[in-house]
Amino acid sequence: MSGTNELCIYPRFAAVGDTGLSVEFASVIDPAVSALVRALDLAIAASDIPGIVETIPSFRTLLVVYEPEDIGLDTLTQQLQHLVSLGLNVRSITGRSWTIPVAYGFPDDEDLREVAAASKLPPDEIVAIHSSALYRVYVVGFVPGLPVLGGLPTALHLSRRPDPRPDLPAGRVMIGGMQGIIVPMPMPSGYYSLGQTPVRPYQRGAANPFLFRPGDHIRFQPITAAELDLLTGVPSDRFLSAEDE
Amino acid sequence: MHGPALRAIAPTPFVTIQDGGRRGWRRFGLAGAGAMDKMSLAIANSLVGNRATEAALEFAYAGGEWTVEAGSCRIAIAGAGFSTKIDGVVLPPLTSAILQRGQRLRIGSSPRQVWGYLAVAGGFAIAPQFGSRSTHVRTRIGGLRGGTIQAGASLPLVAYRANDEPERTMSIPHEEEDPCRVVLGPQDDFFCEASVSLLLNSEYHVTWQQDRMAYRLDGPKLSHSKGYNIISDAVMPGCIQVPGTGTPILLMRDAGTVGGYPKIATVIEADLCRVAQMRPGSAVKFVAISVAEAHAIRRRYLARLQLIAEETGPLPSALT
Repeated sequence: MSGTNELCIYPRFAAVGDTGLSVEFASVIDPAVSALVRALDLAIAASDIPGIVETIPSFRTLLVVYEPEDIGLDTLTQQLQHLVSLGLNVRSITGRSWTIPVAYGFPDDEDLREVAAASKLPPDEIVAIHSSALYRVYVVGFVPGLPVLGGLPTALHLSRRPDPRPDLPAGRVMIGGMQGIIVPMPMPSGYYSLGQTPVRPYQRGAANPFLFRPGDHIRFQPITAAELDLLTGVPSDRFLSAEDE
Repeated sequence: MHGPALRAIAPTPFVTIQDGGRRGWRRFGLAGAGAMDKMSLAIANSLVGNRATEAALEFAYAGGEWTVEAGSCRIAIAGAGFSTKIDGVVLPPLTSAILQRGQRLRIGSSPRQVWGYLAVAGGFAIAPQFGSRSTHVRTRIGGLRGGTIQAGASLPLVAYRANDEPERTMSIPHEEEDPCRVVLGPQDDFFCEASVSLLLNSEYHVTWQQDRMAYRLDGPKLSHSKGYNIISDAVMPGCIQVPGTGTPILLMRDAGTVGGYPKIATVIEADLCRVAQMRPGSAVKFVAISVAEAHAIRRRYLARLQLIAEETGPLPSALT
């Protein structure tokens, strides 16, 4: 399929059962595509389209959940087409920025050494590469509050571990495939653990316990185990370095 | 000081508090949860005078033993065929009853269905989380401390005593045996035409791998035309996703919010309750319908849910 045709077929609308409409912007993972998803999400939130129950952004699609008693599929599709045709304002949307401290190699450097062996890079270099990149939160999901990060440098793209680790604690900073994650609550994962952050993506008991939103940007900053100890318990929103514009 | 409570004497392993489910938090990765069979939840609630989506106890295969630590409590059980006794006396199906302090409620198994509901008049005095009392066990959110109900647990009740209204009953609803209706997609284009037609023209069987997250189906294997990895996107309960093995998995209320397998079709909301109630070994056939047809069916389904409250009536005096 040529590039021109690609443009013609997107956004592509696909029904998901009787209450869902998926709006797909591309078949690739790309910051510009993610920005379109977010822009439509914000445009819907600012619109007065009736019958929208909730929206769920992911890498290249926005799932719109609707109540058919309040809006038909054709009307909904037209209204969303209209929002798209008005021009999704991608430039004005910067997202929030976070600086997330990480004690690399904490509590042990077993996975870091495995990554070193697989990538043929020394552990110091892995830390330097991982902490110099700018990451974008593409999706919050799989597990409540879990940020899925794009922007992992290609030198660190690795196949997942052959056997998942069963019980990872909250705050683990991990990589797998082309992505990074920060563990929000105890979970198994086939990703490699690079270190531990005092930041908690999920804060049980808070009114809005989810720290990250799609479109947020994250940088990782290396800290020592002693600094991790000092920062543990510090409210996670202190690590916000810039608000939305 | 202890308020009124329902006490779990010998609960079965998968008892949780469920209501109509939560909405608005899927964008943060939090599943909607909620009753696997919303129709049965509505029936149990309406028999005790609650609104249709009030939180009730949901159990799988059988309900176990319960007592009340209050003056009395009006209860009702829904889901077809769950044998129920109070102090050894059989309770007629779909009929409310009063459980007095010291009496023992025993909910046995059903030969026909999976999920049953025990509703209590007035509901449970448990704070909602994210707008719902539904339990999502995997993330420890909602319900009673986010978990299944364990033996000895005490579930706080709103009402201390049952009011003196007559008991209510309703006739057993007709169990539809029509095929399960799906809307194709959102990724039916990831499958060859032969596979789509195989899904729609074969019999699949519900297996023992069934829980609140997903039902694995056994039947003809489906083949992908463009591989089985998609860029992960949002999923909904009812989505039929097909991993590399070619065996379809039907996502249920507790499923994660995002998935990376292509979804060949999605079961409509009105039929998801019905499939949820299918025991292992049951045969399920799928038929594809248009979104417009699905919406017409939804209108009838929602009207039916509305009607349930009107269909329950006072117990005829011969039975009391």
